[in-house]
Amino acid sequence: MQTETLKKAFMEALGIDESKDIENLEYNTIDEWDSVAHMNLIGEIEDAFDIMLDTDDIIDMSSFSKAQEIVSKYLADA
Amino acid sequence: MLKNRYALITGASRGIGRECAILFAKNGANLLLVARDQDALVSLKNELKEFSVDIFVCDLSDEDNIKSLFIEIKKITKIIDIVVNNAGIIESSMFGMTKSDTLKNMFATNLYAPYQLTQYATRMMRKSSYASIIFISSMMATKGGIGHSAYASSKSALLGMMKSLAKELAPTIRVNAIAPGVVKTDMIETLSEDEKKDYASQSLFKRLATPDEIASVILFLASDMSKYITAELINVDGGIC
Repeated sequence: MQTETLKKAFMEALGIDESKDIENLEYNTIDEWDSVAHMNLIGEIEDAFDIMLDTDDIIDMSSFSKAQEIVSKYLADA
Repeated sequence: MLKNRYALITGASRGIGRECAILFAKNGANLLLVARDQDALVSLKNELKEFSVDIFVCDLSDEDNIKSLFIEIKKITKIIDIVVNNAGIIESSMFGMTKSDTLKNMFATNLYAPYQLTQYATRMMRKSSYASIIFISSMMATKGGIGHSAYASSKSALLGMMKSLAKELAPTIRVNAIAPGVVKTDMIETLSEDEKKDYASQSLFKRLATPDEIASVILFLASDMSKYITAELINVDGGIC
Protein backbone atom coordinates (compact mmCIF):
# COMPACT_ATOMS: atom_id res chain seq x y z
CA MET A 1 0.00 0.00 0.00
CA GLN A 2 2.82 2.36 0.94
CA THR A 3 4.62 1.60 -2.32
CA GLU A 4 1.47 2.25 -4.36
CA THR A 5 0.83 5.55 -2.57
CA LEU A 6 4.42 6.58 -3.19
CA LYS A 7 4.19 5.62 -6.86
CA LYS A 8 1.06 7.74 -7.21
CA ALA A 9 2.89 10.65 -5.61
CA PHE A 10 5.74 10.26 -8.12
CA MET A 11 3.34 10.07 -11.06
CA GLU A 12 1.37 13.09 -9.90
CA ALA A 13 4.39 15.26 -9.09
CA LEU A 14 6.50 14.37 -12.11
CA GLY A 15 3.66 14.04 -14.61
CA ILE A 16 4.66 10.51 -15.63
CA ASP A 17 2.88 7.18 -15.98
CA GLU A 18 3.84 3.62 -15.03
CA SER A 19 5.67 3.11 -18.33
CA LYS A 20 8.61 4.92 -16.68
CA ASP A 21 9.53 1.97 -14.40
CA ILE A 22 8.91 4.14 -11.38
CA GLU A 23 10.34 1.77 -8.79
CA ASN A 24 13.77 2.07 -10.40
CA LEU A 25 13.71 5.81 -10.98
CA GLU A 26 16.66 7.94 -9.92
CA TYR A 27 16.91 11.70 -9.62
CA ASN A 28 17.93 13.54 -12.79
CA THR A 29 17.84 10.39 -14.94
CA ILE A 30 14.64 11.46 -16.68
CA ASP A 31 13.72 14.94 -17.93
CA GLU A 32 10.66 15.04 -15.69
CA TRP A 33 12.63 14.68 -12.43
CA ASP A 34 14.73 17.82 -12.29
CA SER A 35 15.42 20.13 -9.34
CA VAL A 36 12.16 22.06 -9.77
CA ALA A 37 10.08 18.88 -10.02
CA HIS A 38 11.90 17.53 -6.99
CA MET A 39 10.25 20.13 -4.76
CA ASN A 40 6.86 19.28 -6.24
CA LEU A 41 7.60 15.66 -5.45
CA ILE A 42 8.47 16.52 -1.86
CA GLY A 43 5.19 18.40 -1.44
CA GLU A 44 3.23 15.54 -3.01
CA ILE A 45 4.87 12.95 -0.72
CA GLU A 46 4.26 15.13 2.35
CA ASP A 47 0.58 15.44 1.42
CA ALA A 48 0.20 11.75 0.60
CA PHE A 49 1.67 10.53 3.87
CA ASP A 50 0.86 13.54 6.06
CA ILE A 51 4.48 14.02 7.07
CA MET A 52 6.90 16.97 7.09
CA LEU A 53 10.34 16.17 5.71
CA ASP A 54 13.61 17.62 6.98
CA THR A 55 15.91 19.38 4.54
CA ASP A 56 18.56 16.65 4.83
CA ASP A 57 16.03 14.02 3.77
CA ILE A 58 14.88 16.18 0.86
CA ILE A 59 18.46 16.31 -0.37
CA ASP A 60 18.97 12.58 0.22
CA MET A 61 15.86 11.56 -1.71
CA SER A 62 17.79 10.60 -4.82
CA SER A 63 15.74 7.62 -5.99
CA PHE A 64 12.39 5.92 -5.58
CA SER A 65 13.91 3.30 -3.28
CA LYS A 66 15.56 6.01 -1.17
CA ALA A 67 12.19 7.77 -0.97
CA GLN A 68 10.64 4.53 0.29
CA GLU A 69 13.31 4.26 2.96
CA ILE A 70 12.87 7.87 4.09
CA VAL A 71 9.08 7.72 4.15
CA SER A 72 9.20 4.48 6.15
CA LYS A 73 11.39 6.21 8.73
CA TYR A 74 8.86 9.01 9.19
CA LEU A 75 5.90 6.65 9.37
CA ALA A 76 7.69 4.58 11.99
CA ASP A 77 8.34 7.71 14.05
CA ALA A 78 4.73 8.89 13.83
CA MET B 1 -9.63 40.77 -2.72
CA LEU B 2 -8.39 37.72 -0.82
CA LYS B 3 -11.62 35.79 -0.37
CA ASN B 4 -11.05 32.24 0.94
CA ARG B 5 -7.28 32.47 0.56
CA TYR B 6 -5.04 31.24 3.34
CA ALA B 7 -2.56 33.90 4.38
CA LEU B 8 0.35 33.23 6.72
CA ILE B 9 1.69 36.38 8.40
CA THR B 10 4.71 36.36 10.68
CA GLY B 11 5.32 39.01 13.30
CA ALA B 12 1.56 39.41 13.28
CA SER B 13 1.05 40.64 16.83
CA ARG B 14 2.34 44.19 16.36
CA GLY B 15 3.01 47.00 13.93
CA ILE B 16 2.96 46.25 10.23
CA GLY B 17 2.09 42.57 10.74
CA ARG B 18 -0.89 43.40 12.93
CA GLU B 19 -2.18 46.02 10.51
CA CYS B 20 -1.70 43.60 7.65
CA ALA B 21 -3.69 40.92 9.50
CA ILE B 22 -6.60 43.30 10.04
CA LEU B 23 -6.58 44.45 6.41
CA PHE B 24 -6.32 40.90 5.06
CA ALA B 25 -9.20 39.77 7.32
CA LYS B 26 -11.42 42.58 6.04
CA ASN B 27 -10.58 41.42 2.52
CA GLY B 28 -11.75 37.87 3.14
CA ALA B 29 -8.53 35.98 3.88
CA ASN B 30 -8.30 33.04 6.27
CA LEU B 31 -5.54 34.13 8.61
CA LEU B 32 -2.67 32.05 9.97
CA LEU B 33 -1.00 34.46 12.36
CA VAL B 34 2.43 33.79 13.85
CA ALA B 35 4.23 35.69 16.62
CA ARG B 36 6.11 35.15 19.87
CA ASP B 37 3.75 37.23 22.02
CA GLN B 38 0.82 34.99 22.95
CA ASP B 39 -1.17 37.70 24.76
CA ALA B 40 -0.95 40.05 21.82
CA LEU B 41 -1.98 37.30 19.40
CA VAL B 42 -4.97 36.32 21.53
CA SER B 43 -5.98 39.97 21.77
CA LEU B 44 -5.81 40.32 17.98
CA LYS B 45 -7.80 37.12 17.47
CA ASN B 46 -10.48 38.50 19.78
CA GLU B 47 -10.52 41.76 17.88
CA LEU B 48 -11.02 39.80 14.65
CA LYS B 49 -13.54 37.33 16.08
CA GLU B 50 -15.95 37.62 13.16
CA PHE B 51 -13.20 36.52 10.77
CA SER B 52 -11.33 33.26 10.15
CA VAL B 53 -8.22 33.50 12.34
CA ASP B 54 -5.83 30.86 13.66
CA ILE B 55 -2.91 31.90 15.84
CA PHE B 56 0.43 30.22 16.45
CA VAL B 57 2.91 31.19 19.14
CA CYS B 58 6.34 30.52 17.68
CA ASP B 59 9.92 31.71 17.98
CA LEU B 60 11.06 31.50 14.38
CA SER B 61 14.75 31.72 15.20
CA ASP B 62 14.73 27.94 15.83
CA GLU B 63 14.20 25.69 12.77
CA ASP B 64 12.61 22.95 14.86
CA ASN B 65 9.94 25.45 15.89
CA ILE B 66 9.31 26.27 12.24
CA LYS B 67 8.81 22.60 11.40
CA SER B 68 6.42 22.19 14.34
CA LEU B 69 4.56 25.29 13.17
CA PHE B 70 3.89 23.77 9.76
CA ILE B 71 2.80 20.46 11.27
CA GLU B 72 0.16 22.46 13.17
CA ILE B 73 -0.80 24.51 10.11
CA LYS B 74 -1.29 21.32 8.08
CA LYS B 75 -4.00 20.29 10.53
CA ILE B 76 -5.94 23.37 9.38
CA THR B 77 -5.14 23.61 5.67
CA LYS B 78 -3.18 21.71 3.02
CA ILE B 79 -2.71 24.82 0.89
CA ILE B 80 -1.24 28.22 1.73
CA ASP B 81 -1.85 31.00 -0.80
CA ILE B 82 -0.01 33.95 0.71
CA VAL B 83 3.04 34.31 2.94
CA VAL B 84 4.00 37.65 4.46
CA ASN B 85 7.48 37.35 5.94
CA ASN B 86 7.23 40.29 8.28
CA ALA B 87 8.86 39.20 11.56
CA GLY B 88 12.11 41.02 12.17
CA ILE B 89 14.28 42.70 14.74
CA ILE B 90 16.35 45.85 14.74
CA GLU B 91 19.23 46.85 16.95
CA SER B 92 21.42 49.88 16.46
CA SER B 93 25.17 49.99 16.99
CA MET B 94 28.04 51.62 15.19
CA PHE B 95 29.97 49.27 12.88
CA GLY B 96 33.07 49.03 15.06
CA MET B 97 30.98 48.38 18.16
CA THR B 98 28.66 45.69 16.77
CA LYS B 99 28.98 42.47 18.74
CA SER B 100 29.16 39.13 16.98
CA ASP B 101 26.03 38.00 18.83
CA THR B 102 24.13 41.05 17.63
CA LEU B 103 25.02 40.22 14.04
CA LYS B 104 24.09 36.56 14.48
CA ASN B 105 20.75 37.35 16.13
CA MET B 106 19.91 39.85 13.44
CA PHE B 107 20.58 37.35 10.66
CA ALA B 108 18.85 34.51 12.55
CA THR B 109 15.60 36.46 12.74
CA ASN B 110 15.75 38.67 9.65
CA LEU B 111 17.21 36.18 7.16
CA TYR B 112 17.49 32.57 8.33
CA ALA B 113 13.97 32.46 9.76
CA PRO B 114 12.17 33.74 6.64
CA TYR B 115 14.44 31.55 4.50
CA GLN B 116 13.55 28.40 6.40
CA LEU B 117 9.91 29.31 6.88
CA THR B 118 9.56 29.91 3.15
CA GLN B 119 11.18 26.54 2.41
CA TYR B 120 8.35 24.82 4.27
CA ALA B 121 5.66 27.19 3.01
CA THR B 122 6.44 26.80 -0.68
CA ARG B 123 5.72 23.08 -0.44
CA MET B 124 2.17 24.03 0.57
CA MET B 125 1.81 26.77 -2.06
CA ARG B 126 2.49 24.79 -5.24
CA LYS B 127 -1.21 23.93 -5.72
CA SER B 128 -2.47 27.44 -5.06
CA SER B 129 -3.73 29.43 -8.03
CA TYR B 130 -2.95 32.69 -6.26
CA ALA B 131 0.42 32.02 -4.63
CA SER B 132 2.27 35.11 -3.51
CA ILE B 133 5.19 35.56 -1.13
CA ILE B 134 6.02 39.00 0.25
CA PHE B 135 9.21 39.81 2.14
CA ILE B 136 9.32 42.88 4.34
CA SER B 137 12.74 44.36 3.78
CA SER B 138 13.67 47.93 4.64
CA MET B 139 14.82 51.14 3.00
CA MET B 140 18.08 50.45 4.88
CA ALA B 141 18.66 47.46 2.57
CA THR B 142 19.49 49.71 -0.37
CA LYS B 143 20.27 53.02 1.32
CA GLY B 144 22.07 51.93 4.49
CA GLY B 145 21.93 53.86 7.73
CA ILE B 146 24.39 55.10 10.33
CA GLY B 147 24.45 52.59 13.18
CA HIS B 148 22.48 50.05 11.16
CA SER B 149 25.12 48.03 9.31
CA ALA B 150 23.91 44.72 10.81
CA TYR B 151 20.22 45.40 10.23
CA ALA B 152 20.81 46.79 6.72
CA SER B 153 22.95 43.76 5.82
CA SER B 154 20.28 41.32 6.92
CA LYS B 155 17.53 43.17 5.05
CA SER B 156 19.70 43.47 1.96
CA ALA B 157 20.37 39.72 2.01
CA LEU B 158 16.62 39.22 2.04
CA LEU B 159 16.42 40.97 -1.34
CA GLY B 160 18.97 38.58 -2.84
CA MET B 161 16.88 35.70 -1.61
CA MET B 162 13.69 37.26 -2.99
CA LYS B 163 15.15 37.74 -6.48
CA SER B 164 16.51 34.19 -6.63
CA LEU B 165 13.35 32.65 -5.26
CA ALA B 166 11.20 34.53 -7.77
CA LYS B 167 13.19 32.91 -10.57
CA GLU B 168 13.05 29.42 -9.04
CA LEU B 169 9.34 29.51 -8.27
CA ALA B 170 7.97 31.22 -11.40
CA PRO B 171 5.39 30.97 -12.80
CA THR B 172 3.61 29.18 -9.96
CA ILE B 173 4.51 31.49 -7.09
CA ARG B 174 5.07 35.24 -7.26
CA VAL B 175 7.78 36.57 -4.95
CA ASN B 176 8.19 40.25 -4.11
CA ALA B 177 9.44 42.54 -1.38
CA ILE B 178 8.65 45.92 0.00
CA ALA B 179 11.10 48.32 1.57
CA PRO B 180 9.32 50.49 4.10
CA GLY B 181 10.85 53.68 5.36
CA VAL B 182 10.63 54.45 9.05
CA VAL B 183 7.18 53.42 10.26
CA LYS B 184 5.43 54.46 13.45
CA THR B 185 5.59 51.13 15.31
CA ASP B 186 7.10 49.76 18.53
CA MET B 187 10.14 48.78 16.50
CA ILE B 188 11.41 52.35 16.17
CA GLU B 189 11.56 52.85 19.92
CA THR B 190 15.28 52.05 19.62
CA LEU B 191 15.65 55.28 17.63
CA SER B 192 16.24 58.57 19.40
CA GLU B 193 13.75 61.41 18.99
CA ASP B 194 16.35 63.26 16.91
CA GLU B 195 16.71 60.24 14.61
CA LYS B 196 12.92 60.02 14.18
CA LYS B 197 12.75 63.72 13.34
CA ASP B 198 15.63 63.33 10.93
CA TYR B 199 13.98 60.42 9.11
CA ALA B 200 10.66 62.28 9.02
CA SER B 201 12.36 65.31 7.50
CA GLN B 202 13.97 63.14 4.79
CA SER B 203 10.55 61.90 3.65
CA LEU B 204 9.03 64.01 0.90
CA PHE B 205 5.85 63.93 2.99
CA LYS B 206 7.81 65.27 6.02
CA ARG B 207 6.43 62.59 8.32
CA LEU B 208 6.92 58.94 9.22
CA ALA B 209 4.76 56.24 7.63
CA THR B 210 1.86 54.62 9.45
CA PRO B 211 1.49 50.80 9.51
CA ASP B 212 -1.70 50.88 7.42
CA GLU B 213 0.17 52.69 4.63
CA ILE B 214 2.56 49.75 4.46
CA ALA B 215 -0.15 47.10 4.85
CA SER B 216 -2.07 48.42 1.84
CA VAL B 217 0.95 47.82 -0.41
CA ILE B 218 1.33 44.31 1.02
CA LEU B 219 -2.34 43.70 0.21
CA PHE B 220 -1.70 44.85 -3.35
CA LEU B 221 1.18 42.38 -3.72
CA ALA B 222 -0.87 39.59 -2.15
CA SER B 223 -3.85 40.15 -4.43
CA ASP B 224 -4.53 39.55 -8.12
CA MET B 225 -4.10 43.27 -8.72
CA SER B 226 -0.38 42.55 -8.92
CA LYS B 227 -0.61 39.24 -10.80
CA TYR B 228 2.01 40.24 -13.41
CA ILE B 229 4.49 41.45 -10.79
CA THR B 230 7.24 39.22 -9.46
CA ALA B 231 10.90 39.64 -8.41
CA GLU B 232 10.09 43.26 -7.60
CA LEU B 233 11.04 45.52 -4.73
CA ILE B 234 8.57 48.30 -3.95
CA ASN B 235 9.90 51.19 -1.88
CA VAL B 236 7.29 52.55 0.51
CA ASP B 237 9.43 55.20 2.11
CA GLY B 238 7.85 58.53 1.24
CA GLY B 239 10.42 59.17 -1.45
CA ILE B 240 13.51 59.21 0.76
CA CYS B 241 16.50 59.51 -1.59
